[in-house]
Amino acid sequence: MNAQIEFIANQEVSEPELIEKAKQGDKAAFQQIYLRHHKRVYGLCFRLSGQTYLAEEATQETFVRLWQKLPQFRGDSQFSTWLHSMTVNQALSSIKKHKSFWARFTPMSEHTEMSGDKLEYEKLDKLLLKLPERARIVFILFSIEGYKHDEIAGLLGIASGTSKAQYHRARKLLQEML
Amino acid sequence: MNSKDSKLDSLIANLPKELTPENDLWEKIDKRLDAPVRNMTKRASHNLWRSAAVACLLLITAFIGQKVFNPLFPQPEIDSALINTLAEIKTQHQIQIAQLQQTSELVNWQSSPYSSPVETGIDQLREAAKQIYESLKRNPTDKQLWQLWLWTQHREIELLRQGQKLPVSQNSQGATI
Repeated sequence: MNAQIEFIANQEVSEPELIEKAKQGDKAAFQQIYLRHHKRVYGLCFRLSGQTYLAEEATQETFVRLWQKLPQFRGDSQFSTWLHSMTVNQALSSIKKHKSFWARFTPMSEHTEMSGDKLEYEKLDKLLLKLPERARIVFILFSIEGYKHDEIAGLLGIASGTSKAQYHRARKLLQEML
Repeated sequence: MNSKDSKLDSLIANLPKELTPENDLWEKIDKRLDAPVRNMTKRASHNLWRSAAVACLLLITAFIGQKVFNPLFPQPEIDSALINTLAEIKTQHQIQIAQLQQTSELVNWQSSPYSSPVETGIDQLREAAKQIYESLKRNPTDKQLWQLWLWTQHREIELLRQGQKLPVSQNSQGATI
């Protein structure tokens, strides 16, 4: 009962207050931040990585990093924007880390198909899983997350023209799948 | 294609931004929050030294191996062979494009009222292909870049062929390009 009251009370606390408390080391406040944002973070990680276990790993890493970096958050930008950028970087880094080891030995399609069949995702999510990795990442960042090609190029270390070409390729492949 | 285009746009617009993870992740995160950052840094620096030692050992082994078994360093040869192949494919593609454009002059597809988007698409593709080609020259072993470059060429030919099939405007009054 007490836990329920505490939970409802925490729901009413504003985000800046929760952030301030979490900065002081209040784990309950940080848990509230997690509860408010974890679905958005996981959704982004899942779409970028295309694999459930990798998305879970990236989500965990993002929140652990958030806990460590929270004292550096000064409120100059919106918290959600700050967290979004941290999530994209973490997801890309997890993909890169995974790719350098296991992707050499196991085909990507095995995990991808499993993720798509097992869960009840939107139709577009299932189609996105069938795209080649780089084309998928570019498409998600541009079409769904609203990044510009220059920003994507900076994140992925590619030319802006390559990002545009990957986007058009992804779009064409998706249209063919529809 | 147009209906598929709008269908795709509608799917993107209606895509929920949030997804629920299958497993509860908080428990694992919570455990990791207790680990003091200082200890983690110490462990990380220990790992760094270990990685550096392993990397040095591998480098020395690779260097000796290269000297003993392959004194001529064949890697640049592979790269230059790939760059040659790249140049060859580019030339062949340009010949194919020239042939297609010769045909297009005969049917005069540019006079079609629908040709402008096709021309814009081709220009954008060519610009992208140029940038990808430059990146490939610097990194000729990137498989994904190869695929993308070949795709841009394939798409350019496809667009040129589509352009040739566009209906030609009848009231051009003798104007030629």
